[in-house]
Amino acid sequence: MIMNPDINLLTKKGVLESGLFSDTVPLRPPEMVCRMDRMGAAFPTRLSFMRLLLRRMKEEMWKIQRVRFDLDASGYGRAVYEVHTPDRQYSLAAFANPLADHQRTDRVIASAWDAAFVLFDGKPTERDLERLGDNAPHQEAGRFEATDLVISRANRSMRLFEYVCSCLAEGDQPDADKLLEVGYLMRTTAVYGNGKFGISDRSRINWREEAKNSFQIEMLTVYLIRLFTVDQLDHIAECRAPGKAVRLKPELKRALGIGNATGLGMAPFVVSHPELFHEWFNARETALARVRALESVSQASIDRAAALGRRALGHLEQWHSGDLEYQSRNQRLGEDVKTLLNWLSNSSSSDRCERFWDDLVRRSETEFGIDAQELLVALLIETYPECVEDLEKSFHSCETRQINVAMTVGKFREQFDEQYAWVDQYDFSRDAENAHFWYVSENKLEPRFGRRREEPGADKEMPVAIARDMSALKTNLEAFDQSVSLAEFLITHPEFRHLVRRAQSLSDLPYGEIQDNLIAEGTSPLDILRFKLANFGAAKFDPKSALWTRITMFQGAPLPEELDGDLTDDWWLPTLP
Amino acid sequence: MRQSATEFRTLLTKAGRGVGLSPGLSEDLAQTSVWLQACGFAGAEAALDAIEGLASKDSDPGFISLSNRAISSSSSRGNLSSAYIGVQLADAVQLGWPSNGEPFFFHDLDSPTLSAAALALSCRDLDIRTEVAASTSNLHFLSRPKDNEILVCAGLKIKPDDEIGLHSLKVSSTDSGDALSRGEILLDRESEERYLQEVDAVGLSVSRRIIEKLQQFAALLLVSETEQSLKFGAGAGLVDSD
Repeated sequence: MIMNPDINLLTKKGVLESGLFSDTVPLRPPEMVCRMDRMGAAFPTRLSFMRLLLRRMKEEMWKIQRVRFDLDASGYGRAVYEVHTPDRQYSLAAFANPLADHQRTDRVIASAWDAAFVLFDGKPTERDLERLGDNAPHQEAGRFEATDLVISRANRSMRLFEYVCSCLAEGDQPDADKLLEVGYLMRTTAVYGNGKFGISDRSRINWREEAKNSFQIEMLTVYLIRLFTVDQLDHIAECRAPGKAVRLKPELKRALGIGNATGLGMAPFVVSHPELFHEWFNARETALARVRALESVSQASIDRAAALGRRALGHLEQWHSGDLEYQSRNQRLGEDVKTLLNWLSNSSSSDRCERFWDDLVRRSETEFGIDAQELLVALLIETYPECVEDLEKSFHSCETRQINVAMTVGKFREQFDEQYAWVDQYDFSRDAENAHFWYVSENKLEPRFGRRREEPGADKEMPVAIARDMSALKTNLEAFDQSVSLAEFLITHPEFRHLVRRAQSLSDLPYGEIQDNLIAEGTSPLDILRFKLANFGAAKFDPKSALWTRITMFQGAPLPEELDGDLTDDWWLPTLP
Repeated sequence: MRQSATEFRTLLTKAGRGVGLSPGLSEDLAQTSVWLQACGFAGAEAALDAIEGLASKDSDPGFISLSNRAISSSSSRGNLSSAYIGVQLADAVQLGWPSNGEPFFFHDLDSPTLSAAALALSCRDLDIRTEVAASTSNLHFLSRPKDNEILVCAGLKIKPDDEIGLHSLKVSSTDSGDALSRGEILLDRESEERYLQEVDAVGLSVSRRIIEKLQQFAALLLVSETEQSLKFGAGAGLVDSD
């Protein structure tokens, strides 16, 4: 890690004791940051899960080996990659099969893919591989064992895969601009963990250091899939033109990430894991507050921030989205980043002695669009690697949810009314506040978003309308005898049991709720998706509607053989090549 | 049929909601049933009894007054629903119920084991300082706060006149833990730990028949396909353009 000269840290303990990262700047409040529009402007940070994974891989000197590669000339067959950590081994089993064009879809309703993957706990035997080969290509329709940690599938990018393959077979490197236009050779359409379809429960592995934090095992799977895609590509090109074909250059391999098509399934996760949601926000906001609290800022830090700002501008130029709103937003974002660069270059030495970063953040809140405000947050955290010390271990939560039913209704309301004051801004007697409902389709259990008055199924809606339901709870609590126990209230109103449990478990977790109405007219689930994906570390969001987006993961990330180099932790918003 | 604990819990929660249980009650039912199943008891069967009772309307979806010592359903209302009663008993221990003294009897329960387990888990998880015993016709659950343990025994009658029927449950605040422990001990702290580790390692085993029935109830939450929802409900096109 490159130490910032503003902070003279000798030990990890020193971070906490030095006082340099003081707590004198308050965290941005939940009513500001836990809003859909701001979530929909989130950027990856040093705390993103992909970054955490690669830092650990470097620190612990993980080794990755391709131990099996039985692919035919078309790239179909099996491959196995082993990952050796200091304490154990994981293996990615990859199964590539032919896929007819009419079967290609990013949606859950698909039943066949170009490739299927399983992250296996340990080293799979031949029998394990046979079993996985029989089941993995069927994904949701297969059955899996507790040794199978993650399952996933991916489709080739039709825009890019064949083009790159042909170039390599001709002995040429592909055009970098064309590569960047797409950014990936394959795109995953689901990455399943935690018990789905019989795979391992998270409890099997959540005590392991490398698996404690959010989605680390899933991120490892995606990283290995990225490796498989370039190996498969090189292999097909070589088979087409033995002796003539060339391998894709490392800098171009690095420029390719893994695509992902993300739909509505991610949004209910955020709602149903409020403790974890809080932890993600709390870590980022704490890191930001630490930077804002710095009394003086060195020229070196200004230079680093400016370099990151210029990198962000380059990244924006390589961020292609067909979405008109995103095009317009990104244009404004670019203008704001240029303004930021001016502020940095024009800062005087006296400016830099008076909480310069805090001043900059405040200024951005009045002069920048919301995208640039959030980009600045990520940039400042990137400028000071030390600011995330001790925060990056907090991305897991205990979800014990016993209800304290002995407290009186009146006592419960004292906290509840304050905690959920934000729901008062919505009038649920208005149709516009009830315009939508979230549901699960009988077609392969695909999550969907419907219009309440126009489509059937609202009686089966998923319980994600927290604002509406908490508002109803509030009304019923007010009307109840304040002196009786919550137990008595819940006997009369069992429909609120999960909400009382939720409110109590979030009493000390202020960032636990999305403080918006998720069923209102104009709700864009995309905002929730972007927030979660940015926490993963994904970038280059390319919305295809308000309900789904394509993204790129691990683009610019070091290749396995580069993990011990300087690049390992310096690929925030990369510009390539 | 092997199931991961998460997948089985999710299925139970959905099945409960499918037959009209509120999300909170479904979560509690699932939690208790998974624990039972993980510890080697018929948790899946117990959950199915409760869910089927509600689906067939043989069980009354509601709570009862705990002020009487002998509680049974009136003939017009059907059985007592363990999905409700289990949660009610689990909550009631926070309010000092049952008081020391005479036991409480519940009759016409659709799934007595579920209620007994819910009560025992609540006492343990909430660190209730009194020993509470819940006995069905064949199992005796005893929460032992001193050892932070749930003891489950079989083959024991505390008193000859305490005959407990197939659909009955006896609950008491007790000092008779030693007497209970003279039965065949099916579960104690050590074996519970072992069982739960095994679930982490290999998952749960649940009969296919029960899984399929639960899936039918869970499917009641699914919305039928329409042209509109297929084309626009998920926001993506039907065929990939990439």
